[in-house]
Amino acid sequence: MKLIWKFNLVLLGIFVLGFLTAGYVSYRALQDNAREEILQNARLMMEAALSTRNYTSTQVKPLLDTQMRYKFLPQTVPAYAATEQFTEMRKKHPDYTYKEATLNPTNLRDRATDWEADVINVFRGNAAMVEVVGERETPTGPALYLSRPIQIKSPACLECHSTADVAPKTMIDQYGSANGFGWRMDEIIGAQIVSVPMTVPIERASRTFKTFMTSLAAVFLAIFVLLNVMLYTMVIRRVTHLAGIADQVSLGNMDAGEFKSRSRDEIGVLTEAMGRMKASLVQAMKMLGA
Amino acid sequence: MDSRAAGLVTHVEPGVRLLRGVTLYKIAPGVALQDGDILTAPVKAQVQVELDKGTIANFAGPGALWLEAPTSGTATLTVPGGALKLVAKAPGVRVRTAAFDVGLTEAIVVLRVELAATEIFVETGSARLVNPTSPPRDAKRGEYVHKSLSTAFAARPLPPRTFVDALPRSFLDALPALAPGLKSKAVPVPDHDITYAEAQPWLALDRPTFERRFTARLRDPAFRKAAAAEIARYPAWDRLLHPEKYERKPAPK
Repeated sequence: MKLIWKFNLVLLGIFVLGFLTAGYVSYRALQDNAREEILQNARLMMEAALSTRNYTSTQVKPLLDTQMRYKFLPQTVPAYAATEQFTEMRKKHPDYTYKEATLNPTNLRDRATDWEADVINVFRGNAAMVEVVGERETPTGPALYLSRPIQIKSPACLECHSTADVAPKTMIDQYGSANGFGWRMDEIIGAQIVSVPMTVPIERASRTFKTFMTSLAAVFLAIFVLLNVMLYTMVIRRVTHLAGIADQVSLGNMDAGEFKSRSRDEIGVLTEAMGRMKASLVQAMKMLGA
Repeated sequence: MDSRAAGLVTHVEPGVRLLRGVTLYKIAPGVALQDGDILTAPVKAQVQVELDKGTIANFAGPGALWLEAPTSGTATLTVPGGALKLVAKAPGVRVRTAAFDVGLTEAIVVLRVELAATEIFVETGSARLVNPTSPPRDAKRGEYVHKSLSTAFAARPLPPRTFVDALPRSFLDALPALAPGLKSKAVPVPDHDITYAEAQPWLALDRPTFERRFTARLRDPAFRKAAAAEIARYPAWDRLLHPEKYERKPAPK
């Protein structure tokens, strides 16, 4: 097997191994980064929801307390405020969702669906759990959900949700007395669930991966071609020329050519050594002939 | 507040007038009110009055608010028509309407008065509702009570939407005390003397009181002529306008 074939086989092996290793590592890193970015988005949205809840309960509700005696204003309910804020946001980002999924809600739009009820039951089954992250398929593609438990920690919550007879009459007037009662202190009654689409970040990561791998392949190809050109011009061609002359000399053709090289590299040194060896051989043959 | 003042006007909207004696005045925030003053307000115009001891009354037209604040005893607000939000503080205040009277000490109520009917919603505290034809009744926090001249008290646990929608939007919020923020006093500016047409509802409401009060207006020929046309309604004025009718006839010899 020719030297260039051996060289190329080894080089190709190294390139393929390097390409696959780099591909695997970069794919994992990009996918992990994309997922982390989605999770960060979800956490940011969750914090925004919590801020809205807090603002509503500490600043908005006290201002509307008097109006609540005449008419129930859902705008004073932290869960309603957070949900409405996200409803506004969804006008521009329809794939993002926020829900205060509740097993027994006052406002029926908050009633938990089957998969949301499963998440809530995870929290109910493990009170120490503070967050659940998962992925699910939606009609618009895969989505990551981040959920946190809604636990009754303030007796103020029970003013509206313990029994219908002690709840504000204006609230009963609006929502009726069938739902949203029987909550107990420290009970986990639902979960805040933020859902963030994964399609866009994952596609972005895939595009980045393809660009990276294409670039890597192009670099490998360029290196491969360059190394072959260098190998041919700097080694193969010179050694072939050297071998041809040496072959002729070995057959007694002393006129085959001169071992000459302008280069001072290893092949140059070898060429000069062979030139000296040929001169010595010619000298020895002359002495034998005399 | 002036020691003789019964209250202080702290908010006035255009069109509100003060009837003091027989003269209607234009007013501004800072005007001190006296016993017997009457505030009239056109449709949707509001005026806020703050009485001594922290009682606040915000009145919205169309209608009028008659303030009686004797030097001793509780103040009385008479409302022939209009909407009134009242934050009552001890020693309390009494509200008179055609359908029933309301006694309050520490309470916040909203009233809506039409000529023959009164609605009341108690935001906080309780109110005693008194009517000569019915036994007194206490309205509790969150309760809505309605009564007309021809019907009995009817209570509901929530105010009906028609009542809430008819109120000025600001009545659904807490009434702020504006008196501490008033930097200067204001003086009422005379507008015109009361006409017979303007006086008529008051004469119908409390004839003896307003006959006495408006007697001075009989010097005005136009007022006098209009009153004379209906003199049968006003015996006190009949005596003044036609004293000859009431002179003692000499006993027959």
